[in-house]
Formats: sequence, C-alpha cells, structure tokens
Amino acid sequence: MHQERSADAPIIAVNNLKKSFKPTTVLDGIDLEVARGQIVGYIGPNGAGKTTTVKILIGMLGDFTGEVSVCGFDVARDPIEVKRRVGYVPETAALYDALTPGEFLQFVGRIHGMDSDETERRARAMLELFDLEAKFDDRMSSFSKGMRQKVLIVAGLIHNPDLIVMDEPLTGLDANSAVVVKEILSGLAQRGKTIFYCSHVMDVVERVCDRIIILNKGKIIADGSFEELQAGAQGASLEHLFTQLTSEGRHGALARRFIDIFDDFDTVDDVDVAERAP
Amino acid sequence: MTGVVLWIIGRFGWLLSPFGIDRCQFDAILRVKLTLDDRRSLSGLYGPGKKANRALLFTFIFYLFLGVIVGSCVLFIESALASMTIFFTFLMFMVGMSLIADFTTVLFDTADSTILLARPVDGRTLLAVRIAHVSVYLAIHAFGLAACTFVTGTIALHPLFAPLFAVMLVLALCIVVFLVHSFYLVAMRLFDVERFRDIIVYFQIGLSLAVFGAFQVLPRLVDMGDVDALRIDDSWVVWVWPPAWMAAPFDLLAGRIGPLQIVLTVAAVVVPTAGLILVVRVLAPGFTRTLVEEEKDKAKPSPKTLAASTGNRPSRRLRRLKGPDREERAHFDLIRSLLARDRAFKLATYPSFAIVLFVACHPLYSGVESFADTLRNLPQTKNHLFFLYCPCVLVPTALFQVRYSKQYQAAWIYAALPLTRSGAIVMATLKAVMFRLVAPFFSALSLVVLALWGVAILPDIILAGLILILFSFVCASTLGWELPFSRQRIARDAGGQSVKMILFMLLAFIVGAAHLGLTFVPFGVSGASILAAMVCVLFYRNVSRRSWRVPGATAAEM
Repeated sequence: MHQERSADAPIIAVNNLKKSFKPTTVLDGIDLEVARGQIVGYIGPNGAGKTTTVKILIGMLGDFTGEVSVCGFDVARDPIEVKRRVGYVPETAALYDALTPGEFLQFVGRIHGMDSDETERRARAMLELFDLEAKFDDRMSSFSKGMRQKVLIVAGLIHNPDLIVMDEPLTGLDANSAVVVKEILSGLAQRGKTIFYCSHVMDVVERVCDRIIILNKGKIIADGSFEELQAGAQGASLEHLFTQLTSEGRHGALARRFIDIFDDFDTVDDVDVAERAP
Repeated sequence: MTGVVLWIIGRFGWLLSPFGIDRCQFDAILRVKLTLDDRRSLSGLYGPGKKANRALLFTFIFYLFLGVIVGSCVLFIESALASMTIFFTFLMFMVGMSLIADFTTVLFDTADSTILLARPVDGRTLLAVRIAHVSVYLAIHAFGLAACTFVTGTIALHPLFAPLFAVMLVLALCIVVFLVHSFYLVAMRLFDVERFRDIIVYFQIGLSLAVFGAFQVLPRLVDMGDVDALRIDDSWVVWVWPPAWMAAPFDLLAGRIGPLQIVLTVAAVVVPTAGLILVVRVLAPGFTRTLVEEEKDKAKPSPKTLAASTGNRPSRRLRRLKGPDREERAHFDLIRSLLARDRAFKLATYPSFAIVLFVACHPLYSGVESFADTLRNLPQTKNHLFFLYCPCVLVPTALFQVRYSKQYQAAWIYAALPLTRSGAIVMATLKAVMFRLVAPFFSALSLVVLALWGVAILPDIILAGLILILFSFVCASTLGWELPFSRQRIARDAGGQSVKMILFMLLAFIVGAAHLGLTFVPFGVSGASILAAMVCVLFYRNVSRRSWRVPGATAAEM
C-alpha cells in the first residue's frame, strides 16, 4: 500500500501546500520533492515560513491544505507513522530542565519503543562525542545553551530516523562540536538518511547542503545546488545570492538609513524620553 | 515515591491495552511527569525556587500532618454531620487550591507540547497520561489529608466508616475537579494568558496563607469550650454547601436518619456524577480548544495587555520623588515595573503581608470579650501603634527578596552600562520597594487606624511613617547590598538571613515600644517626629552618596 520502502521514491513530497494563521498567509503554494540521501538547506528571511513548513513536515501542525507525504505516509492522515521515522531538532531549546540528560534521552527512547539498554548505550556514546558524558546524571537546569543544544541533537537522532529535520541546530555550539555535527550530517546522508536543514547561517548551508531551497513570503523562489544558484553570478557567495533574491538589493540602502538615524539625534539633550512622547 | 506510584499504576496496566493505549509510552511519559513533579517546588510548602528533590513525598507527609489536625475533629465533635462537613470543607478547599496553584503550571507547560508533539504519541495515550497524572496528584493530597480520619472515624463513628469514607472521598474529588475545571474555563474566557498567570500567583499566595491559617485557626477551634456540641443541621447553609452533602451519609451511618440527611446524601451522589459527566462531555473538549487558542494568542501579545500592565502614569507625577537625576529615575522605573510583574517576587513577598496583617489583628480576636466589645473598647487602648509598626516587618523581607529573579542573568545590563553612581541604584531600589509595596500597605492601615481611633492620633501616624522610612534605610544598610533582580534563588541563601530578619523584627518592636513610651510624655511624639525627619534627611544623603560595592561580577560571569 505504501511506497515507503522503494528506494527511489521521494522521502518528502509536497504538493501545493498552503497554510494560513487567520489573516496572514504563511505558506502560499509550496511544491517540493526530496530524494533519499539529500542534504537540503532550507533558507529564507525571518517570517518566510520556514518553521511552519518544518512543523507541517514532521506532523506537528495539521490544518493545512495541499498534499504532504513524508517517508511514504500522508502527514495529515498518519502523523504518528511520520513522527516514528523523523528526528526533529527544534530551534528553541525546549527541554525538561529538571531532568538529567540520561533521564530525558531514556524518555525519548521509550516513546520510540526502544529497549532501555540500547537507549542507554546510544545516549552515552553520543553524549561522549559531545564531551557531555560527565554530565550524564546532572540536571539540565544548570546547562549552558550549547550543552542543551547538544542534548537536543542527540534526542533528535537517538532513534536512528530516516529523515532528520533540524532548525538552526548549531546555535550555541562551539567550533569543535559544530564540526562534529557537520561531519555527522554528511556521514548520515551517505548512508541514505535525508537531512532537512533550516538555518540563517549561509556559509554553513553553502558548505554542508547539496541542495538549497530559498523561501520568501511563503513561496519557493529558488531551488537547486549551490552551483546552479550561482549560474550567471560566478563567484558570488550564498549570502550575496540570498540578499539579491529576497531583498532585491535593498540592504545597502537600509544600512545607510540605519546609520543616518544617528545624524538626527546627534545631540541628546537631558530630557526624559517619556516627556517627549505626546 | 515516584517508584511506588508507578508500581501501583503498573498493576493496572492491563486496563490500558483495550483502549489502544501504548503502555510503554504511557509509562515513559507518566514517569517523566512524576519525576518533574517530584523536582518542582510547591507553593505553600517551600519558598519559591528551592531545589526540591522529593516534593511528592514531602507533600504527602505534609498533608498527612495537616490531616491529623483536621481528622481529630471527628473525635471531639459529637455531630457527624458537623465534623465531617469541617473535614470535607477543608479537604475540598485544600485540594482545589493546590490543584490551581501547583498544577496549572503543568497544564500550561509549553515545553510539553514542543517535546511531545514531535514524537509519535497519539492523542489517546496523551489523554490517558493526563487523567492518570491528575488522579495521582489528587490521590496524594486526598489520601494524605484523609489517612488520619480513616482511623479516627472508624473509632468514633462506626466500623463501616472506612468503606463509606472512601466512596465519599472519590465523590468529593469529582466535585473539586468539576469546580476547578469550570474555574479554568471562566478565567480563560475573561483574561489573557499573562493576567491568567497573575491570577494563578494569587491562588498560590492564597494557598500558602491557607496552610498558615490552618495551623493557626484549627487548633483554636478545638480549644473552644462548646465545640463538642457544634451542630449545623438547622442552618440553611448545608443545602448549598457541597462538603455538607458529603458529610450527610455519615450522619445516616451514625443512626440519625431524617429527610435532611437523605436529601443531602442523594445530592452527594448525583451532583458529582453529573459534574464529572459534564466535564468529560462538554467542558473538556471546550477546554482543549481554548488551550489551543491560548497557544496561538501567545505568539502576539495584545497591545492592550502591555499598555494595561505598564502603569507608569501615576509615577510620572512623582517624578521629583523618583530621584534627583536621570540615572536614578531610570533605575526607579525599571525596578518598579519589575516589582509589579515579577511573579516569583510576589509569591515570596505577598504572603508575608497577609501574615503581618493576621498578626496585627491579633489584639482583636485573642481577647476574652466578644468581638463587638473589643471593637468598642479599641479607641481607649494604644493598640493602633501595633498596626502602624507592622509594615516595618515587611521592609527587610521585601528588600531581601528584591535581589532575586528567575531571569537573574538579565542583570548583565548593570555590568555593561556606564553607571556613574552606585548609590543611585540603592536609592532607587529602596524607593521602588517603599512606594510600590510598603507605602500602600501603610496608608491602608493608617486609614483604618484613623477611622477607629480618630484624628487625635494623627501625630502617631506621622511619627510611625517617618520611623518606617528610617527603618528602611537601616535595613538597606545592614542587609548587605546586591543588585536588584540579579541572583538566582537558592535554598541556602535564606538561612543566613533569617537571624537578621528576627533582629529587624526585634528592632521594630523596640522602636514601637519607645513610641508607646513617648505618648505619655507631653509633646513627645511631635518632638520625636521633628528629630526623625532630620535624621531621615541625613540618611537620605548618606545612602545616595555612598559608593556601594556593586557586585557586577555575578552578572558578568553569566
């Protein structure tokens, strides 16, 4: 019934996806196909609809129009089956602070129906790679942002998902750990795992992803490998291409206007701001 | 405790499978929920922010202890209806209050949805976990409170007391769940998320006061001479008072059979059942829908909320009082806004206001004469000084609490800003605490005192007010200076300070006693007022000009 196991079927298939939060349309007709083993960079300005796309892809957000199939399952009809096969690393560090990494990962493993010894083994091994094995039994409330991010990454990968969806996964990570994560991602892709990578950090996307999708105002405005996007503008960085596409080159003028603001307020007199307000 | 609870629930695991609930997931989620509960600090039991380790066990023991106090009623009071009404009133009130105060955070946990929604858990399993979780919470509180009554009731009333009691306990809890659920629905319809959270804080404050009150009032109740003959049968209140319905079957058990007992018993069975059906069929779906809407609203705070809670307007008129320069005024405005909005601060400070008031009213109800007589004789006494010096007790508490915050890291701003005068922060903190908390309290008390004693004691109010200001300077100087809202609440901090707090109370008492002495000296009070005013000015200069060691290091390290 499901075409899930046939190797050449796309792992993500999106057809005319639309989503609106009442007055505003967030996604305005997205069409997308991702094959197994790809690392897809999903980029776009703030508010373009990246996180909404991600939440729909992993079955967290229903109530959309269009067809979305992930890992061979219809997201609207079988969100649970989708969630079983997807690993999600969220943008905001949502964790139960009062737990230890060990307890939290054990919990995640059980939800995915994993054997507790196996969860323990994987959790310890993965945390060790991130230099967190000593903190295995410490409560996470004392953890730094980077340490929490590491736990989140491990929590997203521990059940060995087919599709890994990451939203800004390198936030707060030190350079060494960031390199480890990037290596892990390309290693996983070589083994047939698919990675859907959302980020604002253009040079990482440029280097890690073999396909880049640019989203703007709820629509895909560019889709292809970095080299394909570069066509016609040889040597340009992704950052440059991105700003060209999403702000039509207005950034220079914006920056100038920002700096100009100081000229108007060059002499700050000793009056309360509150008094100036009408 | 968590282990025991999970083991017990595990015995009933076979109930789950027929409903298509994943037992392994159910166990995992419930385990995490209970572990989190176990590590959450509970209002009414600990001060906020203390690192709790076995909260569930402590709650149980604590309620067990409370249960002894209330359970002994059954032994003293002859009428089963009266004694059991007291018990069920107390039980339903305590369980309802703690459900709102402690459990709301669990219900509205957003981390929860982010973590669980991304995982393959279906709605039925989540619902089962939620029901199990609430049941465990209720059971721990209810069994704690009821344990002693199980024994005393069996001794005092009837051998069959225990099974009936167990049934009535469950029915009483059904009513509590129904009422709390309705409260949530109404509150969420009327208020936005932030207001709603504020309201919850007041419930938490209410709970800690109720616990305090229970220890103060209940033993007195038992002390009263004619308590054993207490009867409530002929009061109309029993008809509308649900705990009384729950108590009615026990009167039947004790052999007093009448129409009242029978009607109330029927109500005790019918109403909770109907309420529970209403919750499951009507209220619960609506509740989930509202919760989802709340989630959406959270994304964009309504401008109304922000404007309404800013409340800077009256303080603008007080500009002169805010401080001599811009820096101090800026500090004042910041601290004042934070004081008004920091929930943990409210939670730590507001109960002490009520407790102080409770102590202040002590002369009113401790006397042998009736309340009306006490009130009539009051103007002849000098008890007004007692009222006027009560706010002194609050000053050190508030000044001590103001250094703590959940977002203590935000204090990096003090380390980063080019601050010229550390005295400005000290002065601004002091003023903000005084204006925002102590002054309204003192004013309210003064009005009451004026109304009861008349204008003749106006000089006393003025002197007490000046002393209060002086007292705050002394507190600020001796408490050790810390930046406002710059430290994490840790349990061990509180210990060292409690000695100082007691010394401050002693000081307030001594000063109050001195004031009492002055009232017998001609012009003593007015003379002392002038002196106090002068010392105030001196202190004011000293505090605002002194350079304080500002430990910005704590913030900078973060």
